[in-house]
Amino acid sequence: MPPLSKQQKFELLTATFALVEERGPTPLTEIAAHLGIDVGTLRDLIDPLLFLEYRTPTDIVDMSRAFLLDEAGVLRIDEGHWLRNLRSVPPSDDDALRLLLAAEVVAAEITSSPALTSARAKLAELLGAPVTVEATAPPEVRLAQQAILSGRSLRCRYLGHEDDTARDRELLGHLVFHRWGRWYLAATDATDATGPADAAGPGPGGPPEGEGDAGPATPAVKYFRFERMSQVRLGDLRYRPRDDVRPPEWFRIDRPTTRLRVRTVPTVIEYLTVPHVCSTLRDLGDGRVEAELVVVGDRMLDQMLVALGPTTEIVEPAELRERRRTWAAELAARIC
Amino acid sequence: MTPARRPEERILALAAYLHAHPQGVTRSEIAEDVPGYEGGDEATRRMLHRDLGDLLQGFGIEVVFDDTAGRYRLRPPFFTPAEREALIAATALMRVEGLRSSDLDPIGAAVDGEQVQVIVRVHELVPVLRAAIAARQAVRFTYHGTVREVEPFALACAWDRWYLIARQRPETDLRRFRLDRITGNLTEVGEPGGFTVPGDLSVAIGHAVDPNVWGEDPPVEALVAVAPDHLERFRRDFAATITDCDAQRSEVRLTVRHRASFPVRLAAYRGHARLLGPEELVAEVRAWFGALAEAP
Repeated sequence: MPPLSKQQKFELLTATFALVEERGPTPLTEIAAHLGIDVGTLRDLIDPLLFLEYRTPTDIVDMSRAFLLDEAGVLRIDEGHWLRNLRSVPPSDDDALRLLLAAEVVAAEITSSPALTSARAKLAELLGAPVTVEATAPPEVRLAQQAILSGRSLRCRYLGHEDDTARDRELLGHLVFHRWGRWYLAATDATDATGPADAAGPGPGGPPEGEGDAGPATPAVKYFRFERMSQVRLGDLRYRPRDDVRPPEWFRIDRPTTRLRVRTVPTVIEYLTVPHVCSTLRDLGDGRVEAELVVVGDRMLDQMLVALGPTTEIVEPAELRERRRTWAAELAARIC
Repeated sequence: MTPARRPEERILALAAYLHAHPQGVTRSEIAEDVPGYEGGDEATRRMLHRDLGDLLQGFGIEVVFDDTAGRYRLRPPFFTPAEREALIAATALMRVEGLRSSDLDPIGAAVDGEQVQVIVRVHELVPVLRAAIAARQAVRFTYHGTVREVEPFALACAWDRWYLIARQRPETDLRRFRLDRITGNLTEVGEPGGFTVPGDLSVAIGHAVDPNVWGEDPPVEALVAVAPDHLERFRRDFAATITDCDAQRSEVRLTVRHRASFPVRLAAYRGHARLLGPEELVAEVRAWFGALAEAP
């Protein structure tokens, strides 16, 4: 390995201390693997720091308590990361924004403290702009968190996305999370563990999302949207919540997709609240555009046909014109 | 005492020494007490100043020199240890996507993100507009096909969408602009400091992110019958008030401010929400669906 520059050494030291602070006592082998260097280089880097010291008029102050390497080759930091605690340079704009968003949401929805409040004030002053994230949790979120903490099931009526039918559910929750602007419960459905997933579907104004499970390793976990729950209460089933469930990167979508070509004014496309993909957009020169839209699932297709409005011409597939006519007449009868 | 020869060792010992002496220390005290600075000559002075630069660059620790007292002292940390701990805990619970990647080295962060509960995606224009707000810099962009010049005041995110609260020149009212509807290049207009931000923006921000106050039509009170299983969702979607409730259906009141989108929002309930009144609104919605049924 070529000799390290001074800057590289600083970066490696900072990363080493950060890792140990965050993970707790950590073997040198693990740190070296994380940093992409060999153990010998790491040891060479930190050895002198294990004996850090300075004089006072009467004594020698030993700083080795800050960084300690035991005989098993495990590095620990016993007094917190004093290097970071001394940092006087404010975070970069992006980091400050990231920190402020986290602090704002956590303070509003999860927990707060005087220290978090003062940190938020410093960050807001640093950024010089009000930045707000709305992630208000419905009351059921707290109940679900309580259920998970106590290992008790959660009972509710759940409005199925596909058939719009509410059914009584008994859910064994593992994780509550907020993503794509909505709150979800990742849970095993004790009511019908083998039935089709009908949790977590798109709604008005929502982003593309769908329903699904957490993949082959966790086949029984489904995602339930809190806004589709009612009559939520603690159940009597006892279970051990899983600690390996994470918010999904994306839902598995296995519903049929429909591709439709429409002609309309641009604002109709801009204001579409139905989750979709707009693959092409062509100016027709008469104030309208021709757009190709892809929508997932029958229900979303129905809502898309409504959201496009009466002024939109459906070019193809032609059968969707009849479907829109029928659906509009049916809705008029049901709604008015 | 072990002589300190490596720069990183000398620098960190210097940081620890300065930390232990908040009242400040002279250069001769550093030379006497911290390994590696013995001598106190010109070469040592240069080495000390180089190391102070490295301490700032490498670790973000700034040392200031008090000319009057002739003493070096650490600049107070930006975050207190308690604030830093609180922020570490907060960032562990939340993942912010869409900003330039960072390991949040200034404060530390959860390494594996196992505790993440909230995930927020930041629109790419947020950092740019944030900087414009901080600088009181007007900006120009295209929105709904029209070029707008605005004074940006605040940014807000709701339902996974980002909004800018701003005053569009030459108007006086506050308006909101959805960032994903801004097209074309966003450019700066005039000089920084070109406007002042109104004092209390909380109401404007609240309106910007609440879908139930969207629209600028004259408000109409609507009466809707909702099936029980859909009631909670409907009530939240429309900020509706329950006025009557039995086992079969509930009647709710809500304010309609955007007539054009109202039929579409009702349609999402596929008939589980039925519009009862007022008659003028019922007729309007019926006509809208009638036109839809006749559409090309």
